[in-house]
Amino acid sequence: MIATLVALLASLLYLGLLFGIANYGDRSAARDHTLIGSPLIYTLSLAVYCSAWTFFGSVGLAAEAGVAFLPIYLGPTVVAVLFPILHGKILTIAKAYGITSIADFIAARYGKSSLLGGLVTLVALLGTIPYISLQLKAVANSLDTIFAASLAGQGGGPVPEPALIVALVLAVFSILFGTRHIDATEHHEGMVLAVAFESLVKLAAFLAVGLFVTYGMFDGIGDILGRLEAAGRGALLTMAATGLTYVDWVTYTLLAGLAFLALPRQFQVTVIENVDKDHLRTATWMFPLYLLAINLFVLPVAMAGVVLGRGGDTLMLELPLAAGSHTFALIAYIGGLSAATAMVIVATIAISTMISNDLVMPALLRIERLRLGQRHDLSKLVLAIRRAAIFLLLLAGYAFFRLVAERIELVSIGLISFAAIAQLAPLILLGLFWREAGLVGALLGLVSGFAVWFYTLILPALVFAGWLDPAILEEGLFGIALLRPQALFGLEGLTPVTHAVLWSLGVNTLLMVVGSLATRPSDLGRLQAILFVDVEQRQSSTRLWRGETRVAALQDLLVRFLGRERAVRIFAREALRRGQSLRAGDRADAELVQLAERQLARAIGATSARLMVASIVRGEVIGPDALLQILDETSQAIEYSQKLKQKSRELETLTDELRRANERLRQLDQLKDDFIATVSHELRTPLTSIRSFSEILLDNPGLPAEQQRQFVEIIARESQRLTRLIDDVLDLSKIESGRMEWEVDDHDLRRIIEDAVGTSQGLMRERGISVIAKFGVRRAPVRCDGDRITQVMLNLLSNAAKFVPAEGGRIHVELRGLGNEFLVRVEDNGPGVPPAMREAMFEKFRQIGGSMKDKPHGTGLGLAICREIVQHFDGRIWCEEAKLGGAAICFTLPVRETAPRTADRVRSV
Amino acid sequence: MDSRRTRMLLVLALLAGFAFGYPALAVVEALARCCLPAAVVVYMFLAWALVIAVAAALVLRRGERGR
Repeated sequence: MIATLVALLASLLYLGLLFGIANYGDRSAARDHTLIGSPLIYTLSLAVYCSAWTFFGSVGLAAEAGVAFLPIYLGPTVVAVLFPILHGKILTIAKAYGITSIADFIAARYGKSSLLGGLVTLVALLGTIPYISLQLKAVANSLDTIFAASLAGQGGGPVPEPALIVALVLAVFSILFGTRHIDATEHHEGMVLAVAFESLVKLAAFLAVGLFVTYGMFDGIGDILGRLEAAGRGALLTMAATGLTYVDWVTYTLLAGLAFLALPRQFQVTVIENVDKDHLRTATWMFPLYLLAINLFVLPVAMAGVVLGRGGDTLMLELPLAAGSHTFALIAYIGGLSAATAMVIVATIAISTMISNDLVMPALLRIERLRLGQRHDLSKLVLAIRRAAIFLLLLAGYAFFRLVAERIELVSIGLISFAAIAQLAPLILLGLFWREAGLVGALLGLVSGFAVWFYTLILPALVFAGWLDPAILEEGLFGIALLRPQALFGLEGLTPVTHAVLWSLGVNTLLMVVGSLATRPSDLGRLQAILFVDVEQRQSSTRLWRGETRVAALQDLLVRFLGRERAVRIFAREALRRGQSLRAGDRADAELVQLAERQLARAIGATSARLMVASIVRGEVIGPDALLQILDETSQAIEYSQKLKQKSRELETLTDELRRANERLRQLDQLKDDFIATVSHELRTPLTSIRSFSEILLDNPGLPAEQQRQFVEIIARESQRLTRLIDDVLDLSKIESGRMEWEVDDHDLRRIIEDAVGTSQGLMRERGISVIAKFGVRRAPVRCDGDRITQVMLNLLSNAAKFVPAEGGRIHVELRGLGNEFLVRVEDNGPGVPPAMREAMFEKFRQIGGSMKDKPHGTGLGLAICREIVQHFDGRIWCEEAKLGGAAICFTLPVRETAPRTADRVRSV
Repeated sequence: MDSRRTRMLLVLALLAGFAFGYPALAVVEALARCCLPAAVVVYMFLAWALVIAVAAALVLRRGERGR
């Protein structure tokens, strides 16, 4: 038989190992080498949730009530799925505002209320004491079981008060590794590493014992199931065996989820000890996986116990002992010890921080006689309070174990704790997502919920422990049946825990909502609500102090709580960041005041920090109205700035347009100069000829008649040329100024083209140019000015004739339908038009030659006139490459839509 | 984490809540009565594993790993 001494020795060795790991973690952290930067370590540290309740209690419960243990793990699984949403927001807030605990978080949310912080601490404290007693009881029971086995083997001896010894050892551990630094937001790396290690140990131990029982003592799960059936206990695996209704089941799941959210030790590892927000994503699936894994063998072990006629919370130990395996019994014991110690260590550290920061320090700072505000170094006082709190907390846990818990099952104790802690959940959830949630509502909800919890769960527990008269349960307080603690206002048929949870959480939430809606929070409360609910949006806009103090006063304040070295370091770092020194006599700005408060909050909590800063800063907090006004002004400034940017962009666009227009004007001016030069030149050439030949004729009346006739013909030809040029200029001028009179009538475009080709046939034949006309339509009805379109055709034909080669010149004219338009195409086999010039050639005075010197014969107005005429009749004109190799000038005119109409004589507008 | 994935996690949490409670359990319990006594246990662990798998798939999608 395994000796008690061996178990104790193993305990001490195990705790020694924990010390070693924690010490190694702290030393690494001191060398700036973190060992908790892995999401795996983070997730394992979250498994502090699985305490001795899981290790021993679940199996004991499963042996009696089958799957009734499961809701305690399903609730946290649902919450874990919400980690990135829920805890992601909590983490952002905690990091932004230096939150040190769940009490600090809630107090900060509701206007940094020291009263609420203290109440939350009290609730957490009273809710945690039974939980600690549960761990002590589990370890004590384990030792008792081993001791009983030892007696049977005549080895070892009795252990005096094993629970007390365990409590004292754990107190030493927690004090050593949980209260090394005053900064509560500094990570307890050694502690986290040790807790992660413990999570591995308890999981490995559970799986090892489970495998041993299932496959070592039996031939697998099938064998156990078969024997269970044979023993007539097959119904153990049904819902009926749980003794729970669906309402109970759902309530337990909800309770576990809410408790998981609000448990101080979970808040400690999930939020305060988190070093990387991204770890939450891994924990979202890995933590539920851990829960699943550690519960895999709960039912097989429990069923094996039932088959062997055993039960209770120590099945995990009893079964290996019954099989004579000391090794697996020791593994089970170490696993249970591991689960219990991890919970106790983290819980005591979390609660002790809350007690010092939210309960004791605010109270002490308010006692003026103590003059704590004037003491030079308060850091030692804060640490002393935390250490004393840890010690007293463990003693209280031991006392509860001795007075009450010894007579209650582990699971019942755990559920009592859960129900107390769950009272914090409405404050957290509503505080996170409902801006209207206020301090009065929070106080009303918490106090009432906790009172109902005490009345419906603790009172009956005291009755069962023999401390109170059982008549209270049967007849109700003062004999009023409606006040029976386990059937409040006649609500019966539920388990005591479901009954208590429904009443306490219901009253809590209701009064919280009513209290919040019925009262108006303080300015600070409203401000904090905005900062918490909209943390993602407003994280950076937190310069909220409007007060006055000096740099020296702030530094002195930090020295008192953080020590001179650290305070000086903080101010030096800030000066470095700002790039300017912070002189003692300078007025501290809002940013510096906030920095000091944040640093102080890391040591003594937000509530106390606010009290201390308020004691030296003369001023006020900017209320939500003022804040919103500032935000409005900022928004207006931003809007104005954006408008200015928009205007600036518009101005830039306008400038560009003006620049382009100016360039265009410059070009037009150049064209005008060119035009005047061209026109002058064109006018002067015929005029010079006319004048010269006229003078010759006048001065030489005796010239031969033949020569005189030749000179007169030249004069007549030059006059015609002059007239043509002037006609072109006048035509274009009329069209552009809108004074052109158009003779609009229904015409056949084919006929116009045939006439134009016929008219120019003589000229073409004279120059040896072949003209071919192709018509794709028999009739081409259009509505236009027939003379003007004829002018366009003649212009295009004469234009083509100018460019064809002297010999072998060819011109093709084509007319065809193109949808609701007619397309006319005049192409030649001349040199063609470069693509870059195809658009510009339709502008006035543009000629393909590019300069005035080598320009071809003509005024440079023909194509411009053609474009104006075609566009007037809703057509288009353009130039493209010809199949003959030269240029093809194309234009379209719309098909006449309606029946022929009478002629219009209109003036363009 | 993008808003779509956040919404999907929220939906998963709601579905898990239903899967772990009433009325899903009532259906499984009815099955247990007729033919499979351990149906509740099997169902519970399978549903649990499924929720974990879906949660893992949601938070570990490509491009999100190892950040």
